[in-house]
Amino acid sequence: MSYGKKVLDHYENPRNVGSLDKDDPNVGTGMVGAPACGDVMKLQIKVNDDGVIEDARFKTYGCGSAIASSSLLTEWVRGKTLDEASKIKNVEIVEELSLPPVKIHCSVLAEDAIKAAIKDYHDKQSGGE
Amino acid sequence: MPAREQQNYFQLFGLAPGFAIDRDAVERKYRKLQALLHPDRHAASGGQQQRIAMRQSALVNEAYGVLMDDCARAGHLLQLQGIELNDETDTTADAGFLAEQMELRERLQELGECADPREAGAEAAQLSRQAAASAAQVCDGFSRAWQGGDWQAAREYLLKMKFIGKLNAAISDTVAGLRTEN
Repeated sequence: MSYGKKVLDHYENPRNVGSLDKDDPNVGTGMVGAPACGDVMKLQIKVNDDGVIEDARFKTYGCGSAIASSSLLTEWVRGKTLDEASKIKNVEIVEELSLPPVKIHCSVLAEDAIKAAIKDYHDKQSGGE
Repeated sequence: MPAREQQNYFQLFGLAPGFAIDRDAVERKYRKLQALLHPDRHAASGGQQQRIAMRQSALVNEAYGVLMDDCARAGHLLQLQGIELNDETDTTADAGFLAEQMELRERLQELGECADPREAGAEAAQLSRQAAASAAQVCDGFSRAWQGGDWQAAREYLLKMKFIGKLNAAISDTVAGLRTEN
């Protein structure tokens, strides 16, 4: 399969790979998976007191498009407020990476992951101590 | 929109639908059906008959592939209940399962980068065992859910089966890579 230039760039030089402490109350973790590719994606955000995402990390096992989608998304959400980050749509990822139709579900997965991470953060903040 | 009549592959092979399968029986029936449908047998009966036999033969091949594969068979059982899975959008929300898959993937990646072939081989064997145990567990879960008529649970188990199938393929690839390097 031939991947676009931007996909390859993110695939070969993924940004922000790694993990944050999932038990940290300021960290939200989103874990999602796609059975079609067997992809598993973990996206984590660290939110400061102003509600701004100051760090974002991901770990994705799956195809190049899934890795590129999550890599791109971590770049985009850094410095954004939770509200702004939650408004990112998968089509923006599709356009930026020129994903072919068969790989659109990878961008959906990334959108689901950031939403899940934001939800996890909110749940921790409201439910926790 | 009228749905295409769903062919029942169990029926085609003279079996009662169910997740547990007698592989020998499927194999025997497969040979028997293909012998009956062999194009040479229908050479004399003219083009029309021969075409029908060829179509039937293709159907039997398809059915054989589905019945012998755990994921495909489980999917077919759900299809017969009118439940279609969409690979593009369906996913599991079971965070514990996904975390476990993530951990197995991490270990597999480390294994691929491991310099000591003996250590890598031992770890690969252990990962395979763990994946096989997970597979057995979800297959068992599917079987029980299907028998109990709990389609939602059965669907969830099938999604997990697919993940484990992909993991197994990745393990095989990594192991093949270890062999060629040494």
